[in-house]
Amino acid sequence: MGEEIKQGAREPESARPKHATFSVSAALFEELGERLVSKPEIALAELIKNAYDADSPTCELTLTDDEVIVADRGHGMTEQEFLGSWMVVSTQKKSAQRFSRKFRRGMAGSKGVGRFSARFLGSVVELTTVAEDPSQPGMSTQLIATFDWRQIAQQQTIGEVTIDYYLTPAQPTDTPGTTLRITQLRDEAKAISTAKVRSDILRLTDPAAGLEEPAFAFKEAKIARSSDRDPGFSVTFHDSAPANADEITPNVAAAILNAFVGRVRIEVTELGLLKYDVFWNRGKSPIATGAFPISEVASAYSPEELKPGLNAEADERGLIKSVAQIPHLPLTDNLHSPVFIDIRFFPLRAGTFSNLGVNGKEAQKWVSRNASLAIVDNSFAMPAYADSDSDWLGIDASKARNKRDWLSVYTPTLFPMSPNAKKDPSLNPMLALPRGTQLIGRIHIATRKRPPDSASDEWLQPNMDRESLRDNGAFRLLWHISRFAVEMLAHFDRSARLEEEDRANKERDRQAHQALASAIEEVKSAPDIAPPHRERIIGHLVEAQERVQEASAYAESSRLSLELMSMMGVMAGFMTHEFEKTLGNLKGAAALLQNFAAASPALAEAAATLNRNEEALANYLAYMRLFISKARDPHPQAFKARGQVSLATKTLGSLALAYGIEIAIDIDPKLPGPLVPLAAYNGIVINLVSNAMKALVPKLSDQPRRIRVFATNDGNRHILVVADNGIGVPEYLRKRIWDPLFTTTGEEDSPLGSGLGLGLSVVNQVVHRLNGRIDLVDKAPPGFITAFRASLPLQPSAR
Amino acid sequence: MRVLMIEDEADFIAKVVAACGSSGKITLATAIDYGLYDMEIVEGTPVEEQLLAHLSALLEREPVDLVLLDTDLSRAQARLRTQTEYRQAFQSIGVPVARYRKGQSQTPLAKLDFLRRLSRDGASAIYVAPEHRDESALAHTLVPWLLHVHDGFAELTRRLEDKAALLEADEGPAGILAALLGRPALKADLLGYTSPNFFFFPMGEEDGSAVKRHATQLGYWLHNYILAFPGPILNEVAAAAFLNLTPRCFRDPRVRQLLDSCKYDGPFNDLDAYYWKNDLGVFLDTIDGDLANAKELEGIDLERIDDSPYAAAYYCVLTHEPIRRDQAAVSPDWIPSGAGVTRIKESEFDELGPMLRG
Repeated sequence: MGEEIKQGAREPESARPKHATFSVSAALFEELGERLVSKPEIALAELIKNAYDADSPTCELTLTDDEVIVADRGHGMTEQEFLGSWMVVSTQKKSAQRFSRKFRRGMAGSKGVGRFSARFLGSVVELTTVAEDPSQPGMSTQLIATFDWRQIAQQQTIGEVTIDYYLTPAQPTDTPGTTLRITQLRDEAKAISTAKVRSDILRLTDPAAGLEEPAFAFKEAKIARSSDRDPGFSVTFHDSAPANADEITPNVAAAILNAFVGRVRIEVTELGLLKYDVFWNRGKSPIATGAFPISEVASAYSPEELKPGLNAEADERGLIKSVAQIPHLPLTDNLHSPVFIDIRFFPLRAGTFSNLGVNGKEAQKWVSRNASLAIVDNSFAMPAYADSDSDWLGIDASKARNKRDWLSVYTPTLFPMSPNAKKDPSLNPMLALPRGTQLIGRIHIATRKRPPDSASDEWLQPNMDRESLRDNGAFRLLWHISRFAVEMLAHFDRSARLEEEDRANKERDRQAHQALASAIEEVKSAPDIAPPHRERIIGHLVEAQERVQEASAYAESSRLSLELMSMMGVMAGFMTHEFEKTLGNLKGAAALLQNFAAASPALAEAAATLNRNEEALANYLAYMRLFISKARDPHPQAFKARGQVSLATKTLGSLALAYGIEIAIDIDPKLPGPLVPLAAYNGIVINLVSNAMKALVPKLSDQPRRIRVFATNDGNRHILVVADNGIGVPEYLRKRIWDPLFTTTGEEDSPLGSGLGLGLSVVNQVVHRLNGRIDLVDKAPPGFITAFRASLPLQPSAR
Repeated sequence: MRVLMIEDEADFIAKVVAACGSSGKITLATAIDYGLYDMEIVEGTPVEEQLLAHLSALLEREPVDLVLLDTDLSRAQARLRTQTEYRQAFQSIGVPVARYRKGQSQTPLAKLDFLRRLSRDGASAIYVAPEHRDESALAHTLVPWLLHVHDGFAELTRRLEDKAALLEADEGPAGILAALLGRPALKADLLGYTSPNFFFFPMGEEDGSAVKRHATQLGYWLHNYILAFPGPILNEVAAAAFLNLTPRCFRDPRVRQLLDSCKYDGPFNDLDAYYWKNDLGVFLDTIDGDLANAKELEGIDLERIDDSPYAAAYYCVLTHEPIRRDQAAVSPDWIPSGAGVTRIKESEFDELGPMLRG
């Protein structure tokens, strides 16, 4: 490079650089007008944005076969403004000016090219604008200019285009404002259905439509003088086009929108703090709220974080393989725009629109028609996201594919799905994702032109066609935030429905109980039933009543108990540490007692008992410590079945000894166990054997108490049978033994304690997860009363 | 002998102080005596460096021969550093550390876990076995054991001081230890104990305390690996197994007397009765490979481990009993390859091994 400069310095004078300038053909206007905009309603919306930016309270549209008139009552343009802004293409003024001059509205037409949209509609545009003359207070001027775009396009360069305009003092009756009259309509403009344009325009220009509006749209208005309070903005149609027969009054629309089943409201400040509120069943107070900085999660999905290592596999986007299932990545961590989201959910369920004063079916239809999750930029909806069939958040796609994983990167962090919930369709919240036709919401943003000196290109920015946003990290971040809002609805809807089911079950229980009580009373007082029959019938009914009571009491307590027990997991860690010290103390105490044993033989016995107990507890502790460490890392492992059955039964050995239970192991020492996590196999054995022990303890002591553990490999399966000659399982309980927390032995009934009552239920779950099955054998082996048979694949892939 | 005890439970300290005091041979100082509770950590320098400097200064003023360290210092409420930090510091200084874990009886699972840990972490401390810290009889368990351990380290230090030139030679730890034990030919056998642990011997760094530091390192190696996992040096049960005798039979005074010349007399020999495997082999060769041929043992009914008189049995490091070849499991990788007489009983290992496999 340095060499090149030196050479340049030696160049002769004649080789000095010349200067070239761009020249712009007037045909550019044709490009801007015809190609930049794709639909008439978008062209009109762009013109309406200019009215909004001019602080007009209204924009009146007249649509006839021959002309389109767009009229506003804004501040109009002075001659200077006409020449300095209107006649300058893509002026920077609008980017520098973020808010309108009077009402401080967020500028909607941020690129200063909207006026060329008129070109899309017709060839001739007549501009009439009335504005106060700043040099002569109280006086106004009227400026009229006519643009014949066909003539303009014939000029070689834009510089050659001359527009005649007329400036006159305005009449006292002329109010400030701007009117565009477009004639010589193009075919596209003629072909449009006035009714359709009307509804499309309303959709794009009245985006809040009964939903909550973002505070940031009015942020600046608060500081304006009270006399300059923004009167609002509306679009009116000055024509005879019939209103859409389906249209309803704004009051009714608002009433329907307030009859939501679920509602999520999200605010993201310009500093990137996301606050969310969830409302349910038309409630005005949130059932859940929270806040977090969006960058906390997003930063883990930055291009740098997702870049694969040198030899690592990449997905088709060139990102690390582990994120292949997550769409719309990578992300930036700053949107450079505030965000406000209000989404309401109207499921197709009985009662959704009850007590509303509107026909429920009609309300549902209205919701379907108006269903949309439009992005609204500076108060104007963006067409690409506003259509009811625009599934830009991939909601209907997820429904169609029965997706079970959250897709927003935020949802797993805030509302993680348990493996159980993921697997079980009745619990999986993603399967409760609302359909697109059941959602009405708006995602408000306020983009502004990116300053030329901004280091990052990752700003929320509309594309040149104004229909959509640029696909960059900021847009993808907005996608994840918006999707998070919808996934929250799914999460809370699933929870609400589970709670509802629970309530319904309780009510059914109550009714069953009541019906039984009535039946008993009825039978008691029935004169035509013979007394012996009556007693028998009443006996059966009372028994049934007790069962119902038992079942409902169990159901009521089981969930809470499960949750409470899960919380106790943390105790395991403390216990192993403290327990060890306590055992040491026990040993010390036993040694002390032993010292005095010579004086009192009873002390020797107490010391021996203490030592025995200490050893038994030490065994449990050592076993638990290793079991927990194995359970933390549950990978399949090769082992011999007998060794593990022996270890598990030895751990229970002191109890077996204490209760005279003989445990026989009938397994070939060389028999390989199934290739499963060791903790799982041990857990299955411990639970089945301890279960058998509990069934043996209530037996009369003069009868032998026996457990036999048998295992073999049959083809591709490992079969483990635990049989006992205990009290057996009554026929009517055979199905319920797999219920969590179901136990036949209360704490007082069994000296072994009732345990957590989770044993068989958890064993059942674990065995199933290992692609195995477990059954209570119909006919136990000879000499035994009860036998459980677990069958596990020898290899994980086998079924 | 002066011992520094780092322990956070006053009751246990009192018991150990009493036991050591009654022996008249050990002066015990506590962490409080040495101001370890008052050590202030300042920001900017790694804690390890500060601790090393602090302990070095303390020991320079009042040297100790051995440190007795509790494995769980959690009750000191962070006023003491962790046992790992203390071990590392004393390793750099070159003071032997004996560490212990108070608690319950040692179960088979805990024993196997202990052996596995020993083979991995045995280069920075000696473990006090549960039987040596019986709280009811510390004066008869812990105190003599501490004295023997100290003697072992002291003996090694003396021998190394006498042959300090070894540190200059390119012998490596196996060559140095073999020379210190007076059996240079043993180097090849000891190499079987170096592979997992060679990185613990930074023999190249020489300074004033090099002899002390290296003697401590070699002491850990000898005690925790070579003696704990019998190979070239056998404890009594391992020696019995090597000779295919039951331990009961091996303890017959006539047998012992016959084998007296094979006894190991090196560092730590007071901790147990040890034998040179090589010497036992040489002796067997003189009597056609079987003790039953020894005239001195005529009339004694020798109980075998394996019915075949010429078979060698193994020492189960877990159950401390001799086992037949067919009872032995394939050794896990954490048993040093030089430990030729060491095995684990298969039935035990089938139960416990999978639980400990990482």
